[in-house]
Amino acid sequence: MNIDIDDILADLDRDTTAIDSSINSHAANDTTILGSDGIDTDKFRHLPVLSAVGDFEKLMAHWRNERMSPELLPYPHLLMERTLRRVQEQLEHIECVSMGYLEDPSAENSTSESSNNALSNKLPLLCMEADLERLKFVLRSFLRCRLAKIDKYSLYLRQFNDEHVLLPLSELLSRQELEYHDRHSAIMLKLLNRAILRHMPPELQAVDDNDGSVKMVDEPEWNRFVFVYVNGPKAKQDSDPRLQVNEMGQQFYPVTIQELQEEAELTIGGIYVMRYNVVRDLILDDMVQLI
Amino acid sequence: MSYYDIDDILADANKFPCRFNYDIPGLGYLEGNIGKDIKINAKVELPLWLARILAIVGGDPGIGDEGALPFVELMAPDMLSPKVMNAIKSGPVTLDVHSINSHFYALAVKWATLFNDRDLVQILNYMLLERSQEINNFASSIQLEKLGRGRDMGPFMLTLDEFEKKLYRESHESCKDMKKWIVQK
Repeated sequence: MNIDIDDILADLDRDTTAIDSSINSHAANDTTILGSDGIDTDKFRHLPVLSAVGDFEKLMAHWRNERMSPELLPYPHLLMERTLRRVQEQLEHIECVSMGYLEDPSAENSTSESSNNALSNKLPLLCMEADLERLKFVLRSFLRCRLAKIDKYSLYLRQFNDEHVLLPLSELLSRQELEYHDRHSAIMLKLLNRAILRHMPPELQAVDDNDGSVKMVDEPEWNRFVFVYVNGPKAKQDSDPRLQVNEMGQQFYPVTIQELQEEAELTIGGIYVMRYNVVRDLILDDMVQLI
Repeated sequence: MSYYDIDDILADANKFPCRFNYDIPGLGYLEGNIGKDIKINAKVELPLWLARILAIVGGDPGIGDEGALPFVELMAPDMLSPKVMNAIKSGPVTLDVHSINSHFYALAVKWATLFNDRDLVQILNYMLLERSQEINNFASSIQLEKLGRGRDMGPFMLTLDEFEKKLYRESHESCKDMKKWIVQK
């Protein structure tokens, strides 16, 4: 006869780590709750604790999604702000450490201990530099990928400036990307105008004419096939109302494929090939990942 | 299939046989005799980008006898004739698609959307599936001795249409890169 005491053990576990986590979250206080004031401690525990490692994982997820999705995804403003600040700080940190490393041998030159010291200092420095390079590569690749998409959909993105759209352009793009988009499309337009368009009859001079035989504004391929990995909600399993349980006891998200009028189950931990517009909402809510 | 897609533009320039439903003055240059009129029932080869519009837009209801008849009537082209369809059904892999039309898929898809042709779509699906298996076979096996002897890739490679060539090139590149990465690591 077994008595299940897992929850009691979990309770004890939580108690021992409670102090630790509260310290952490207080330290990150000023960055965590921008714009939300008056949170009592009970609520505080549910807030995601911001850490450099967590942020990097999120950045990787954003990077992968951006690389594989056909549309331009919203820009992660806060995340990028934090990451860029950290890159700057780490850069300065490395600078400082390497300065110290240069000074060290001159101070106590002859002793063998100092050369040993210098050697042991070198490894962390190398690691830090390599790690920074890795992070910077991801950032650069992420931004370049977004720029390529901005080029491709520049006419389509223009429509986002209208009043009726859900997402304003400033949410979708960062400040620098906005500037790039504006100026790049202006340059393109100028080139086309000078080269060809001014020789055309006036009614054919528009570059965003959608009434002709072929649409000129390129929309993202909404129903392109993508590979998805279903990772489910973070930590708490019962928090998501969309999650259901099938007869095998596995949790899944029901999605409907419009054209075929068909239901499909995305079980957690599974890998699927799906049309992008079917899983788009789940991607934006971070329940599935593109791979 | 977007506005600036070169392959799409090239596919659209393929000519399709059409029959005119009206007498139209001044359009004789479509037939080759400039300055003349075009006669009703005249058979003309028109590029698809023109024929597609003319087959949808109707003539003036007052002039024509049946009102909303379009300017031209598209007739089934050679590439979609029963002969070709039967050849596809019998053996998609041995079919020389490139000699039928170098933009076979793009045109067939355009045709199927224009006429809502379910049978054609089914045949195309079957054909693409069968042929893509063969393409995958060719793309994933890098035959060294064949590559060494020159660019003789076998007869199948010469029968691919433009879309399949793209498919082959991409899958071949990815296979090659993967192998390179594993070997050179």
